[in-house]
Amino acid sequence: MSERLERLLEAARHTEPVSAEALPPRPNVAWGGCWPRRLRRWRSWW
Amino acid sequence: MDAAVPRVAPEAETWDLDALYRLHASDVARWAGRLAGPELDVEDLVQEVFVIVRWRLAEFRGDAAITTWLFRITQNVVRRERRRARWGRWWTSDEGIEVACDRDDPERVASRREDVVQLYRALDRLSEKLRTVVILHEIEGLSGEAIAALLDIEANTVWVRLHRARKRLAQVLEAKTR
Repeated sequence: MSERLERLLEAARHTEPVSAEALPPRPNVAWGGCWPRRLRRWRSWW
Repeated sequence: MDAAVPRVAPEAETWDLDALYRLHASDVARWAGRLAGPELDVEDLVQEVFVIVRWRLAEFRGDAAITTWLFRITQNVVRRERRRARWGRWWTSDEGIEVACDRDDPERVASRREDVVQLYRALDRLSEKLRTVVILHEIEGLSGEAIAALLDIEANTVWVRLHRARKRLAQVLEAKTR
């Protein structure tokens, strides 16, 4: 494998995946699930 | 691979969404994060996956392991969102992309972000099958056997795809430097 590819892969390996603690404790599936999050984001953007 | 997870056959309808979430939300988050790369919000993806799981749980017949079924849904959700995000690239820059990094040195974080974005752009040039295998093996660190079980394919197929993926990826990166 080329040195460059190995460097890029190494960078990706070191990114931290989202931990279980960062997720909400229950699945948010009410009203299509993701809408509350998206609405919050849109509101903060405006 | 997932001995603790019962294979669900006729009693599939007894799967409880909360229990499934408790057991597998972190797996879904990890898969989604790795498959999507730095441009998509993992929490949103996890929610989208479980919205689909909620509606399709009754259809799950237990032909494959529950992890295989969840992985397929995750893969489909990520594919759809990546397609949407590709349009967004026309008017956004890479500056806003955040890469969670284990060091706080700003220069290091910036260079790592650049590397990760570059890698995922190159991965976008691969077919979905090759892309998935190379991400699961080279980034997530899963063994060939674990990938075979997750994708419900032969281990040999995994190695063949991996070999092709590495070759293709090297070609893409080489073409970009010219």
